[in-house]
Amino acid sequence: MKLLQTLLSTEASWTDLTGDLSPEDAGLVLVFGLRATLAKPALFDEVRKRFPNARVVMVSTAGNLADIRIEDEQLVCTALCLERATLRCASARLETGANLDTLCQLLGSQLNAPDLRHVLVFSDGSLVNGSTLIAAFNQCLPEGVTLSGGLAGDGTDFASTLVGLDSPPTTGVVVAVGLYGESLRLGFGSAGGWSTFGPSRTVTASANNVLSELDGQPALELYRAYLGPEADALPAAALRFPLSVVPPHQTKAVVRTILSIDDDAGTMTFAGDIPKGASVRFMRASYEELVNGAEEAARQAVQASELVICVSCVGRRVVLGERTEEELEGVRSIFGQTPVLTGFYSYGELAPSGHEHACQLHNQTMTITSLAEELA
Amino acid sequence: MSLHPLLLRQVKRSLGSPENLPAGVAELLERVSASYTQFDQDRRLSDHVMEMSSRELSAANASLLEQNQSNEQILVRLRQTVNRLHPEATISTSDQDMLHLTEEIERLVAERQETETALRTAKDAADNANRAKSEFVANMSHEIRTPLNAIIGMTSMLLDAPLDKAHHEYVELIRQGGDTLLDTINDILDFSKIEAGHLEVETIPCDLVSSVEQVLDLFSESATKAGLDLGTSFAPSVPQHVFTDPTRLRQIMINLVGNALKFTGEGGVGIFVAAEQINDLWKIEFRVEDTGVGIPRERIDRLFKAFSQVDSSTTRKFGGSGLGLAITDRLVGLLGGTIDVTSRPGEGSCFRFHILARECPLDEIGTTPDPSALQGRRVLVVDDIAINRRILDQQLSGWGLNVDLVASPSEALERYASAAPFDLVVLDFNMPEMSGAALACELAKRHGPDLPPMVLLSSRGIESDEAGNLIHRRLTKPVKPSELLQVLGGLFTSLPAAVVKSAPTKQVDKDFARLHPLRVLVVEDIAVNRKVILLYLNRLGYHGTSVDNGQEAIDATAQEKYDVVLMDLQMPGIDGLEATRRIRERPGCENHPYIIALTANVLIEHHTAARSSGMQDYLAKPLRAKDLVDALLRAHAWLQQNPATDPKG
Repeated sequence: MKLLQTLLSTEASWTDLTGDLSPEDAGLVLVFGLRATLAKPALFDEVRKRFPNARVVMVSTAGNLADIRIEDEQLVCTALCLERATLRCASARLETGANLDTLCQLLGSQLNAPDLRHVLVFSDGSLVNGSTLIAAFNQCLPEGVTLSGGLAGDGTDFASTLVGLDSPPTTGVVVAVGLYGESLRLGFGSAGGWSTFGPSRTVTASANNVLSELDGQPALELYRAYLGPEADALPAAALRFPLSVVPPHQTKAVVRTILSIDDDAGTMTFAGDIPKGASVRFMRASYEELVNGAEEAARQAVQASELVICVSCVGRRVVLGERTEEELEGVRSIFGQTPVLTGFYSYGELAPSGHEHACQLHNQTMTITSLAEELA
Repeated sequence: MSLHPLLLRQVKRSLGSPENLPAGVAELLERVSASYTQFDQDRRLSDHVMEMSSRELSAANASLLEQNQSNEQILVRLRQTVNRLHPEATISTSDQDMLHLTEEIERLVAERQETETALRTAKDAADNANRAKSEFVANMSHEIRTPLNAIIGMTSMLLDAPLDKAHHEYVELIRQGGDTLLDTINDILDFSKIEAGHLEVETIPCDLVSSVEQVLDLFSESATKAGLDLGTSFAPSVPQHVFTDPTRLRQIMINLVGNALKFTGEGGVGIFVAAEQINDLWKIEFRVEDTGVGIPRERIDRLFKAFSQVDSSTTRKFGGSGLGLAITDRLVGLLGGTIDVTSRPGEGSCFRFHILARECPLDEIGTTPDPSALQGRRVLVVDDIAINRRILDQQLSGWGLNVDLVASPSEALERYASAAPFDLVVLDFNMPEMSGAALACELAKRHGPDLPPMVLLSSRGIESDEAGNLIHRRLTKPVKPSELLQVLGGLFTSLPAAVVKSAPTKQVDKDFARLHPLRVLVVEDIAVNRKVILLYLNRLGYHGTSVDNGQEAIDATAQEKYDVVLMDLQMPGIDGLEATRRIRERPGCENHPYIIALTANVLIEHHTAARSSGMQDYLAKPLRAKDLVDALLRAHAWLQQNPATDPKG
């Protein structure tokens, strides 16, 4: 696998960081940028020009990772060329009223092939319900094919997110990149570092990923009370208190992060379902715990190490603030200096969890997909 | 450049004014300032969250504490309850373990349920056994009555035959034995009815003085014979009339006085009545005192128990079923009172009972019986005099009857044809077109024997007329309302149980048959009964014919012309009702022969059924010679008025 990591400024100037891939050989370029930057059509044209033979995947983010730095001012472009393995891309746009299941089936069937190993998914992060997306993909992908990726972000604005394949990015788009061949080596890791606090509460009113009541009280009011001085900064401020959710009749908790609030309806929308009857607790984290969590994710994914794609939650960035890059340093410390490290802060992380192959939607985690190619 | 206040102070102290710092240092300071600010923010949020969380947890803790206290109270009460339910339960007062307590309660509940199931099973078994017993008693009573009928009948007959003195004495003993046996069976039946809850009491006006006097009348002859005094005394406070069941009250007194006389050798028996008002009720106390043998103290508590007598030797000496006092006890209970007894052996006994009753105001006296039996029944009133119709209308409507008034016999026939069925017809005797009796006959002619009861009102006081048995009761005008109600009520309620005593038969008139010639057919399936009836008839001078089932009765009446048929109702195969119906279907047999029903059932329903099948009269078994004679007299009178029109005859 050959790689080139480079930064593209808003003035369309390139700053190459690492890698020896010549741009015309690139088969795929992953471009991460804040929505405002990414939306400039001139920049897409510039990428197209520099990587004429590559499929261009653009994703809006809540922070772009290049090595151990967060590069919010520029686009982070990571180009790659697979030597023995192959890749194929597909994209679809969620039209109004269209069914996410059908969309995922379409993408799945376009990518499906006997030697399909892995699918990288970059999805709109504000229109798409991550839980539904994962459920749909898990249903249509053959057993043994893994999936990872993330939901696009929009800083801490939660307004709209952009994704594109070979064209200027737009809203409501899901891009899937299929990776094929025996030579691929894959590693996955996912960890949070959050701990629960306060009393356990029961979800008394909700619909899919929209939460209205906890213990018969409006959930939004409870959040406001806990945020106190920070309440004005909702919904971003709520990222500080994700929910640990134990669905009814289950024991394993999943973490759910807030996406938006509706002051009029008094409801909150989460990046995943909050079923009625679930038992939930607030979560919070310290810097050290979050950094430890990132390192734990890196340890899980460390076996393959040429390209490391980190998808970390916007909530972690809100909490870590000035110290966000410490979790990147943690990841780097595990992987060593060799691999190229990219990724973004997202509205939802997709990765297989633990020993299960089926992909899960994660919130508030550092999720790592590591790729390498065995040479002949 | 705006720096965090702390950083600004630190910069001023170490570097002087922050305005003139090199560009690199200024950028560094801005980053440091942002970190200071973020730290402050985080700390503030942490403090706030900690406070919020602690507030929430305190509230939760307080509510838990409260819950816990209330649980402890519940535990204490549960423990008390369990211990009360089951003193041997292994729950100590110091037991704080709710789980253990719950297990213990569950165990106790299971135990209790088992016991309950066992008890219920046992109760079901007992109920079944009791039902079987009652049925058995009823069956046995019927089985015993049938041969007893023969015994009593035959011995009565024997007593009229020429016998030597010793034989006469033997037969008299047999007859007395039969009487006693009949009494015993009646007692057993009564008692089993009470036990089964089938005995109902009435609440009607009752004249206390006359009730007691009736009882005295019943015993005065035997008391005189035995040289015993019999008397009564009423305290002034006793109300004359109360609402109670006079029949049952008399039965109680008859039992007690009968007993007292039986066990009193010399001296006498007295009935003392006193009363005490309790709110709107009267507690009326009756004391039956005697100067007899008395009852040993240790036997008194068994006295009111069924089948127990003071001494088993008593049975041998005095007879009796041992049920009398048990029945008396139950009857007193039904009338709302209790009974007890005090006694000094050798000096006498005093049975004391009371009943609870409302006093009967004077204006309600004489309205016996209860008019409720008349409610909603339809009556046709025929009287040519308007004022009489108005009076009858008011009286009958007042008792709840639906009254149809007509002013002439022709109108009556018309109305009867168009508006039947009626439950009752009230006829005036003296009417211009035809008499009430003639109208009754006309109705019978037009509508067959299936007529409602008819009451004839006459100012002439006639006892018989051409309507014969078509008329149920003949009343002399002016009819008192109470009398009319009594008669009408009697038509629609069951007849009071008659006390059957086999009195010595009077000298029979051998000329009876000659004066009242009748061809009589006896239809009776039981041979002894058949024989008894034939012997009765024989003694009257008749040569009766007999058959033993319904079919033979139908055949016999077709072949031979009979004036009177004595028809048993209960027979295997074609019963008396069916046989009568078939006979009546034949042309010319609509009301000939004159058919008299014989049955052991005394309810009005049977009477009605007999009438509607076409029977003209009705006799209760066991048959008494006098009743038979009266019935034959009625039959003869009727046949005289209504000669058969059959050309064959």
